Amino acid sequence: MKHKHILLIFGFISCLFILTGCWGKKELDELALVSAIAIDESELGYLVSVQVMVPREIASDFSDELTTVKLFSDEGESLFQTIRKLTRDLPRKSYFTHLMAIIISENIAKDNMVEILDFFLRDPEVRPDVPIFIAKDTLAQDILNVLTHIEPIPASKIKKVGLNFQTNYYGVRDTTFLNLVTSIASAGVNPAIMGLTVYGNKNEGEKNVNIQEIEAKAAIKITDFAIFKNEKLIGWLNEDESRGYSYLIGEIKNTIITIPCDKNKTQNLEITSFKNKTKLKMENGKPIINITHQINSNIAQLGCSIDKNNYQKLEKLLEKEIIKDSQHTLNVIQKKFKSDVVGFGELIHRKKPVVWKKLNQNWDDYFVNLTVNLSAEIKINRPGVVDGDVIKKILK
Amino acid sequence: MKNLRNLIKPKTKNTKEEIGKSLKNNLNNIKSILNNNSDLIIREFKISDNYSCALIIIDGLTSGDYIYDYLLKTLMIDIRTTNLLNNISTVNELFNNILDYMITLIDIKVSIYFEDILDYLLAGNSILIIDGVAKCFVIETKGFTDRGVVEATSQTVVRGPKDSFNETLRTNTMLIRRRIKDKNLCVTERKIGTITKTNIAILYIKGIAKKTIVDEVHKRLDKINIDGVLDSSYIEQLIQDHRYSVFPTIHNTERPDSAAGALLSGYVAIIVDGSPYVLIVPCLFLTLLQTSEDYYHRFHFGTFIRIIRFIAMFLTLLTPAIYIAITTFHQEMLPTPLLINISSQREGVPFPAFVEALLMEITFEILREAGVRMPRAIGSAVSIVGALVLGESAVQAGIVSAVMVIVVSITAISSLIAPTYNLGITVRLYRFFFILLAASLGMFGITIGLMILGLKLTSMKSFGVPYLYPLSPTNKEGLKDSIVRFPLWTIKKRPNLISDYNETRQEKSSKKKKKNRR
Repeated sequence: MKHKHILLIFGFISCLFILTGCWGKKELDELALVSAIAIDESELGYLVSVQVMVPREIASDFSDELTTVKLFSDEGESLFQTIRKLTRDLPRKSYFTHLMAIIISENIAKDNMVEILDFFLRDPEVRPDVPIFIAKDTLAQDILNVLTHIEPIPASKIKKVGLNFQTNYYGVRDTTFLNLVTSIASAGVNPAIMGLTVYGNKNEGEKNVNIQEIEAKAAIKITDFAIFKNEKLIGWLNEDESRGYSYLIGEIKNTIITIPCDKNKTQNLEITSFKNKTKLKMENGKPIINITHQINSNIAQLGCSIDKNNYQKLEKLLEKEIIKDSQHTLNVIQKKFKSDVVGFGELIHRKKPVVWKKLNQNWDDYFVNLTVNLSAEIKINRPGVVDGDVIKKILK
Repeated sequence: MKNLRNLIKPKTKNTKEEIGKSLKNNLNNIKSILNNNSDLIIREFKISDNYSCALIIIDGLTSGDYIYDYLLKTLMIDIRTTNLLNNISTVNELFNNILDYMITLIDIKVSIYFEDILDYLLAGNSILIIDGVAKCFVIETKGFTDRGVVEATSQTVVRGPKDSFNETLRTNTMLIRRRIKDKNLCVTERKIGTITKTNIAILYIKGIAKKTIVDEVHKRLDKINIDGVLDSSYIEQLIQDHRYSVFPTIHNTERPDSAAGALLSGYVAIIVDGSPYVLIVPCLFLTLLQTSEDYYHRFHFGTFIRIIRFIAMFLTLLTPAIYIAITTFHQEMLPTPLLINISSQREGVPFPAFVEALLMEITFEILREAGVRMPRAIGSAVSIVGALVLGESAVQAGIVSAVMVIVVSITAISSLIAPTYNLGITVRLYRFFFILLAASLGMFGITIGLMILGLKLTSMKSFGVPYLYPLSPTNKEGLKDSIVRFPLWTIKKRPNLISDYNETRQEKSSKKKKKNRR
């Protein structure tokens, strides 16, 4: 009797395994792994392009010299609807967990991005740390139409170029779409994100020729930073302004600063550490913000000779250069864009919540006239691996 | 089916038949009981002219030298040179004189029951019957051939003693006695098996082993009533705690040094005649992952290799399951480049990952079984087929993916690291359970499986000792010698659930010595 029971229970349990039908099961070869998604405006509403990886082509052993990715695009009234509409063309279910880049066209960003961000936030497949970019002077779709070589997956190149730029040149605070959403949602800060563009011949980019020659016909590059006011794109910072913006937010890990010293000659300093010391003071009930750039640097390349044991002059020059750039950007964002992309509001909110309560209502207007003092503490540590003034010796 | 141990009901013994005075009758009786077996040898002879005797042996079980030098020669020739025969008047006196003065062998008994005599005879003793006496001598003249003490074959070590147990009980007890020369080492013997009458020895160190465990062993052995015991695993299966559990609750070893080590910790060893594997109880889960070699290397390596073994056990158990779970349910868990690699290999494989895994795992199990069972001469042929056809060609033919072959290889190699073969078997079986869970429920299923496994292990006991001891219940001293192995001089006490008194292993002196060494 007892054994009958055990058999019955065992039978029921094994039924459980079979009857679930392996709920949620998706075999690898039934998935279209989406590496990047680009969203453009269209007459219907949205033009959505997804870049799908072709694993067989990426894993070198199996390469048949076909393209590593395929682009599928369609138009529709909403983002999600369009993604599903892609099934007209896609033989496999699109799978977004390995998404490496979201690219949004300038027009959509100017118009309304909230709908798009809402989709990405709600969708369980999209990770919150996917880098997000704005396509400048080109369709977002065009950016996904460029083949790349060192990184065989173009989306991977986009992601890694963003990272490399951020760590070795200068960067923005809002790199991922979650950052972007957070910045939009908080009152005292507006987002700024990197722009992408295609250089060269766009039509050649999608052909294998693009990666078969040393020089690419078309290439994806990081360009200016897009400035937002709340959820809407309002303009672009040019290269110098973008750099100044990075100084203001202290988003610099390692970079090079070039100071003109003579005719066509420059002094170059490598910044090894860059920190901002931000202080909030109240004067006559008005908040005043002091930013001190604390910089450590090494000499990287000299165009003009300097005093061997005395770097003070050079330090002064660097200080002037950095403050010049920061100040310029500050003016641009205060006067031209009137958008607090640095996050001064958030700083006040954190340090003086009482004051913020008053300013919160019309912060955008107040920000335009906010007093921000900039200063810099510069330290030049090493002259590189050579000591002394090499140029002087050569010229002699 | 309720209780295997009671399968054969204890036979109530009839009153034993005693031997008679007449030699002829006795011999006829023995002959008829033994069905006139051809290996039964009866040598009738006379001590002087008055007393006829008979020496009975089973050919092959006795040592010819013993019988010639110490029995026949003394009784037939040497006795004439003494004056023993002159002084006796009755046959009983002769009997006593022979016992006292003539037989120069050490183990000699006097028996009066047929049944006992036959048991001894069949175990290799010689029986000496003298006409006119209703008693007989049972003389220990065992001398059969055995394998000798050779190197261990299944539990090998790089550093440490190389000898191993063999099939002879006496050799095995000798091997342990040689290591533990203590008066408290107790060896108690008994016979089990109504037909095989196998000798079984229970060894423990009095004063270290827990009395309750020793008693429990005896109690369980008492209950066995089976016709034959051909290997120690018979005893293992009949006295183990959780009879339906896949996990072994009795440890076995073929190494005298591990057996001696276990005895020193308070374990009880059961040696079965005819089996080179000595049983050790109680069995803890962690001891299944330990070898004696852990103690022979210095503690760094001992600890390292134990951790490796632990990892390998989990690899065996979970690698195929995790592979299936990740590739069919949780593709987001893999780094993108790895996913692309796996994905590119999976392209064109006609089966779902589950079927693929099952196919390869079963193939490997077949290969392994073939490796054990096949005649040695065709070994190379099998390895070629196994390595080339099932590995490389299957991948090239697109039947399985290369990753799957790697997964199976990792599983296979990891499963071989288990120091005791029976733990390896357990893990191999559970692996299929996990594959099934992973294929139907993904990581969720694996987690459920691990929980079931954890609950099962914590609920198990071996001879009253919790299976996961010293992990759970936790014992600080025990943990020093568990997954890690502390330096020898810090392990001062025996695990207290196994030996509850005489806990101290070493006094402070060992530590002082260490200080002096500095």
